[in-house]
Amino acid sequence: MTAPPPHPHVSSPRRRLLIVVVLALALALLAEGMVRWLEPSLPRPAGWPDEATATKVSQLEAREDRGCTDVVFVGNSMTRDDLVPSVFHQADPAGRDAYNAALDAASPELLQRWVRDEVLPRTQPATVVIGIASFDLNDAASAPEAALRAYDGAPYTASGLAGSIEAAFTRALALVRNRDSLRDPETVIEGIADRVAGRDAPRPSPGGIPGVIAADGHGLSRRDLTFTGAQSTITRLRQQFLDPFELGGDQAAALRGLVDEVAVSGAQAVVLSLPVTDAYLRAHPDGLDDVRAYDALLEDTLEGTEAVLVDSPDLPRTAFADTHHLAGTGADALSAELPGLLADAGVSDRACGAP
Amino acid sequence: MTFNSLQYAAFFVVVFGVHWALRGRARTGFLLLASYAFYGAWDWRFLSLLVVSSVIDFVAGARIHAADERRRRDRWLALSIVANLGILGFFKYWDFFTDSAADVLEAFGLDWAAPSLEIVLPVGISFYTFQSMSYAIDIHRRRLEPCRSLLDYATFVSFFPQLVAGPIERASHLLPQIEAERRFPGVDDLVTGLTLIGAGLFRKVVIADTLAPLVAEGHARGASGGAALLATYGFALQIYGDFAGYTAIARGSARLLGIDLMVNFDAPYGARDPSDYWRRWHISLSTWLRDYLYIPLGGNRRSQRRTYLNLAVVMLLGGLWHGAAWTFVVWGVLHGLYLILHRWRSTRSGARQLPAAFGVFAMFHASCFAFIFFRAETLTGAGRVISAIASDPLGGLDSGDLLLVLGAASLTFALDRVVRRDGDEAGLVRSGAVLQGSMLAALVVGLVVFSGGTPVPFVYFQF
Repeated sequence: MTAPPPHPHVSSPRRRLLIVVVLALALALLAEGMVRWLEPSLPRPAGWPDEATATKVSQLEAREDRGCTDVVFVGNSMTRDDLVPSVFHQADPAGRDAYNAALDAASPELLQRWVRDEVLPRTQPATVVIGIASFDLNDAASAPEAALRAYDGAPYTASGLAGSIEAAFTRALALVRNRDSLRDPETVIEGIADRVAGRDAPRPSPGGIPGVIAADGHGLSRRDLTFTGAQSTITRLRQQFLDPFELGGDQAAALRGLVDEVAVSGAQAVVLSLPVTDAYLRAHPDGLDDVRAYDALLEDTLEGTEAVLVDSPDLPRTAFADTHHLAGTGADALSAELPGLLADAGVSDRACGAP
Repeated sequence: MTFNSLQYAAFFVVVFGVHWALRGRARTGFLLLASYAFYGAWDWRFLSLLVVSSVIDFVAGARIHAADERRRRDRWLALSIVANLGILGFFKYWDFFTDSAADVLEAFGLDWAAPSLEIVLPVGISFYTFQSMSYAIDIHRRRLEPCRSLLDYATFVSFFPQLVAGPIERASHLLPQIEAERRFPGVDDLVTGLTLIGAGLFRKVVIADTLAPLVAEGHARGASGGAALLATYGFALQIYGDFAGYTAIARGSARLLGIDLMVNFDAPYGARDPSDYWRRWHISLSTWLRDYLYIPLGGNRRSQRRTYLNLAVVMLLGGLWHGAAWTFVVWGVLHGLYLILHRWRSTRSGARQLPAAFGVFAMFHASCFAFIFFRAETLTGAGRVISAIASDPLGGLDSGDLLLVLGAASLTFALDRVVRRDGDEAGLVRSGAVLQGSMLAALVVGLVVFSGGTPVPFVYFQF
């Protein structure tokens, strides 16, 4: 009896390689699937720069599921606290839906990326209102610089080619997204136990953060405050935003870029000069000369664009929570007046998705 | 540009492509250019040292070979050794010796302000000076013909995969490969090279870098006994993963360029005694010390006492080679003591053979103990770790960290089984298809989960 001849394909290197690759791929996919199953019970991945941004993304995603958004407010904490979407909606004769997508300490440079990458794709708005004040165009402001660094350092929003690749992988793969948790055996074991028991870890909710961010993105933390004129507030304003005061560089260019991005998306850009206190104006290193230089630069920056520049009405000092953020009463008043201001400036009240 | 960075990946892809697109001398010239670019990426100012070291030994080698008189040959060899050790001594040890001298004088009540120059240590200087020096010594011993081309010789000294952390190659092994016309690697070499790179990255990124934080925590002031104990085991696994990982990537990169580099590790934590350990750990350094220091000192050919002294001197200098600090000196002295004790015991008549498992256990722990000094920044820091372990070894033991150390130990053990079986990590490709597929998946998933962020530099880059 002779041994059967070897199967012609069994020892083929190509076939062997195929088996190795297919098996490796299947096991890697299995690992990805297991992490996706486990993910709800693992701690929230630190993909976004902070909890507030993560919450706003979850709100934007919820809006995306429902369709488009008519009007979006973007800017820094001033816009976040000053413009109340629900009040705007009620006051608007056209009944436009609005969402506040402003981020704390966001400079035009940061906003350009945030709006282009996250806000516009998810909301497809008809109108984008960009809230602005003099420190937005100050290239030497320290607080916005720190916020930009945090934005650059977060996995989902990292800049550059390597950052973009990392962001794409982070979004696509649960294995990458949950790296920090998966590296800690105790966290994984606890996660499995929680998953089996049906306990999910807390996640950013479209409902917002109690006392901080409302369900429509509006800021809540300063609504009950009153500006007392305290020197410490003014000193902090100077240190973080106004001193030194340097205009005409990256931030003005970024504002121009932001306005252009909005126009390319098919939305109408509106640049809204937000109300500030006299104390804010006086806090500039060269006082009103700086403010005049800023006004001139803003007009120059928007010249030749389709953006509409709208001034806010003067509000009494009692409407403010501090030098430049509105308290609840001021924010409600400005938001109620905004539909009229837009109409007066010739901004169309068309809804999103309408021709 | 570390091996675990995207920059190195991009750099290597370009070098690989251009290297194989060129032919003959142009190929070697490009390899030299790429090596200088790689080194220049660390600090271009120190390229001059690399060039100077290469030129001195190239000239010295030729003159030693050409000289008929013994004295002339000795003189040229002395020039090579003095120049190499002079460069190494100045850049690596100047501040250490002047500071130490000042401390000694202060102990005798003499106040002397040491002329500290705060010299920056050129990357890889300990490795390439030893490599270059061995060339001149081998020619002096008439064991090697001098290299006829400065281009080939400079490429031998600066070959980028092994330039900054070895293996410390011998001219007799590496130079002929540089001089020869290399052929594009076949499928086997390609697979072997990529496997070595993958296994090296796994050792570095998944094992070593994961342990680094818990090791740092265990060496920090105020660490509990449990944390210090885990840091001690953890560091033994971390430094092995780090250095063996580097070596595997270096060997894999070289293999893809048609060059075979020597094996530097052979599952050292499976060693049964100190002699066995040094046949398995940092083999290129231990054999260098054996051939160019221990044997010239007389090795074990003279009296027993002289052998002990030779072992002590060699290990002391081996410790000092790693870094200009008393912690490295103590590490070297401890290993010297281990070797002396082992030799003393093995030469005693009637000494009972210890069980192999006991030997492995004892040697691993002796190695871990010595590594406390290797890792600590100061002797006081090392004392702190030892006293924390001695006072309450299980106090504050973190179960998560314990799992990490056990996991790292299991992975190290699994990889080392392959190394013992097949000579290096490339043996992974000789496993069955199912095992290979599983390991490829583990590699991919491991790298995906454990990489990211700023690449952690290799520990041995500082030497």
